Amino acid sequence: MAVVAAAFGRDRRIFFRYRLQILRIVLDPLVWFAPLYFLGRAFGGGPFRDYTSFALLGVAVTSYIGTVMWGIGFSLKQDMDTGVLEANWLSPASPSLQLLGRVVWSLVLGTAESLLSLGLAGVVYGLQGQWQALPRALAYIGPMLVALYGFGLGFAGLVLVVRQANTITDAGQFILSTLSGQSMPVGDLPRGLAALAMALPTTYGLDALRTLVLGGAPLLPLPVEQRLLAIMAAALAAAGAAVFWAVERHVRRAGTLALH
Amino acid sequence: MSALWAGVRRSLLMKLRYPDFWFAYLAWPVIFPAAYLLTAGALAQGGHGFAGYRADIVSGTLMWMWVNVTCWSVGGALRQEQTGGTLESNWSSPAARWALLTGPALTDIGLSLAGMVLGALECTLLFGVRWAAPWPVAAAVAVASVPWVLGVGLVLAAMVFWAKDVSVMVNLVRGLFMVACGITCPLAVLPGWLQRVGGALPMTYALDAMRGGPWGTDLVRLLGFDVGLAALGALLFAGVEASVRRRGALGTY
Repeated sequence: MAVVAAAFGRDRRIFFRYRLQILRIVLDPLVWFAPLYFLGRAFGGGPFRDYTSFALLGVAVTSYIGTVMWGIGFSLKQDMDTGVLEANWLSPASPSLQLLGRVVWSLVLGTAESLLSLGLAGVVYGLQGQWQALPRALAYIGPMLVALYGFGLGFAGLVLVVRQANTITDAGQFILSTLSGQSMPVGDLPRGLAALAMALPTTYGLDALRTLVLGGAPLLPLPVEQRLLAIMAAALAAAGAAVFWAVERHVRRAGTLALH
Repeated sequence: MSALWAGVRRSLLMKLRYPDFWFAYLAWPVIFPAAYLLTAGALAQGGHGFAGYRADIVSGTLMWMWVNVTCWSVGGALRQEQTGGTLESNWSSPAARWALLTGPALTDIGLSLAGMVLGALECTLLFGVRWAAPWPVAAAVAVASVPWVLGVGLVLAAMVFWAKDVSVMVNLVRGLFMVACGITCPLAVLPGWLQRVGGALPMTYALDAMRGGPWGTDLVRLLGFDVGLAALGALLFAGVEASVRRRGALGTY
């Protein structure tokens, strides 16, 4: 517990040390939503009843993808660059527990970002919905987050292997967000991409949230989506942890932990 | 000149060392516009006008990507040296500092420009994009944009020295271009006050020329931005760097 708390405290301290980061968190949702908002306006909202709210919920939920990939995977790359990764991991504190502390901080930061993006962008661009349904949506968002963070552990393993994370993090976040239906219904994707989208937990978490808050028909019946999310959460958490442990063992044995 | 060449070589070596190099320059410039094309397709639902709109989206998103990559690479490279602990030693060497900075910067600008040109070709083949501007105009816009893009990069590099952070600065600058230049829509869709902000940014005119606007006027304006932004970037960077050296803060991050 002490290791998790220490890692959490370290990441929190680093975040608040660079106070301009807070400005980024405030502005990011407004900036990244702007192209979608103006695209929606250019087409008069298209066939959507309320495209702004549809896309805003998409941006808020998929912002967790960025938090996971940048917060867990990319932060390992930063440790590599600054030369502290090997020293930290050779200490008696378990690397997995150090990573868990980072995951918890990332979850706190991601939730703050997500709520802020809904609140701030909601005020600026206009957001509507049945918000009393939000507590029910947590039953879908919870397992989605477990699955997403499981994926994040596996992604952290990948960063340890390729030792460069900028493009794969940036592109990975964008691809997963788009496939999850961030800015359009998954049904409007080309068939091959739609099949991929149906294998992502964020697709179901976002779809359930939109159905409950904005109304409309879900992709699958909601109880089915809930069961799928529970299965994905268990599978991705187990797979992500297994990948991370395997890669960690490999880089330790190969002696490449300090390389970048 | 040898320091400049050494900077170019080092930057190229480091880029080719990592396996994501090819993905960054071959696949990413198609994936990014494709996401907005798919969204526009869902909004248009096969309606009229979407075919002509594709080129607007592709030109806007690719141009923005170019600025984005430059912002990250010029400012980010300095930040990486700061955190990696090599900045102070490299910059204390007798090599000209402008060469240490512009070598990697020009490599990045050139490589990412090549990536964007390739992305435009790929989008033309994959999505049937029909361009409003003839290719000599597009090439002239690209060439005329190099100095102002470099100028933006230098301004960011100065900010990295000052703020000891790169991500916030990059987000602010690229965010401004993203919101105010109409990367996914014609400028007329933006509210009036935002159009006026866009009017003060060079990317607006580069996009206007690419989208079939009066390219002669746009190119003259771009040249004005070239002089202004390149000079501003160079002056700002020189000033901040001198101040950081005086305070002995080159190695701190």
